[in-house]
Amino acid sequence: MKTKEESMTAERQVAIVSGGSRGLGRAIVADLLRRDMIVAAFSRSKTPFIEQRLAADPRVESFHWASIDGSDPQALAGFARDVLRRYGRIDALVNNMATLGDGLLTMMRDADIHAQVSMNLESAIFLTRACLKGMLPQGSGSIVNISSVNALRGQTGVSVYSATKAALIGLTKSLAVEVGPAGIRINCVAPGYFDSDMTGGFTDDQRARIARRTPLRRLGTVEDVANLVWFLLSPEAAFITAQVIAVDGGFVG
Amino acid sequence: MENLNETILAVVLDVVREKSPEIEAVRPDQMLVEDLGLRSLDLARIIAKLEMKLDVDPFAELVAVTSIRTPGDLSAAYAKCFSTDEEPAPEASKGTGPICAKHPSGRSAANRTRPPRAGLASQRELRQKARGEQSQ
Repeated sequence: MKTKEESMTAERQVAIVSGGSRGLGRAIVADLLRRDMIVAAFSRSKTPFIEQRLAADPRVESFHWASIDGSDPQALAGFARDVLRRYGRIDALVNNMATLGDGLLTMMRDADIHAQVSMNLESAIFLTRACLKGMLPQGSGSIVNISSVNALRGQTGVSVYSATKAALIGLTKSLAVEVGPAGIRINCVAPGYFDSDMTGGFTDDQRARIARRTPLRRLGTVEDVANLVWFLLSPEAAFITAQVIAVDGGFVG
Repeated sequence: MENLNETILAVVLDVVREKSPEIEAVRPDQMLVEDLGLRSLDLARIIAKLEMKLDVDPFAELVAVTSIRTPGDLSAAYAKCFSTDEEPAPEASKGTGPICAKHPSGRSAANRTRPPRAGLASQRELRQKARGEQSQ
């Protein structure tokens, strides 16, 4: 007998991706679209990638995008409601949106601390709550929170970022217990160093050092992470919840 | 108002029947926990279903969810959202959202005069959990 999650595959599934315009979010959006999901993404501003996707789908049948201030809970809830009205369901959520304020904690401006807590943590909580309003009536859903290996091991200069990413793990573990009986799964992906806008500032020496400390001898790619996100969202992971999985090539720190 | 009550009872019955298919009807005065066997997550599902049907969420700011013990309590909570005999809310609907237009600050007369009762959501459950964690 098919599980509820398997039987849903007959209908196109709807995923929300926060911060889907650049870097990892962009790769996740592209990957989910390639796998025939309907994807709704938001970011503060349009990028060429978003413009290209919107132009390719003028009837908004597969890709919906809105300009949203990710730190505004009402805007996040409104976005989730729009997606529900437009497509009638929300099957998946990827809490990807994040900002990285690099620097020693004692040197960091108040505004940078607040921005990271707001964008990386509070927004994920509010968006998750809004999406659960769609998933609970369905009795199914899968959420992936993008954490970081910095939530699992220490690293200088990213203490606030690490704190927000570790908090997502706490959110994942408790919420998985809370909504599991309603058929909703929630997991965390913890990427290591991978090529993205956030690591664009690394020098060749830094990149070589990271590769040397990685058993698989390279930095990751956004596709490495997107593949795991897809797996966790898919029915293939129907019995996996409350987990944190690192995608870091075995990085030893 | 009759339609609202019927909608609420139908949604409650849907969720109740998932656990107890033998139940054929629910009454406004039945206790959600003691009589109908629901738990806090079931109430969350009922509220989510009602938000999709009615496009309002009285529990965002207007009503304490801990005060809900019966389908009748649910009806009263949603009736507040559709009531027109109170003062308009300042800037209540600047979003597109289903937050009740009434009493955006949560200072409704009902909330002022009626402290939250120990309802379905589980002040008791939460207290037990808190005790459990402290003892670890």
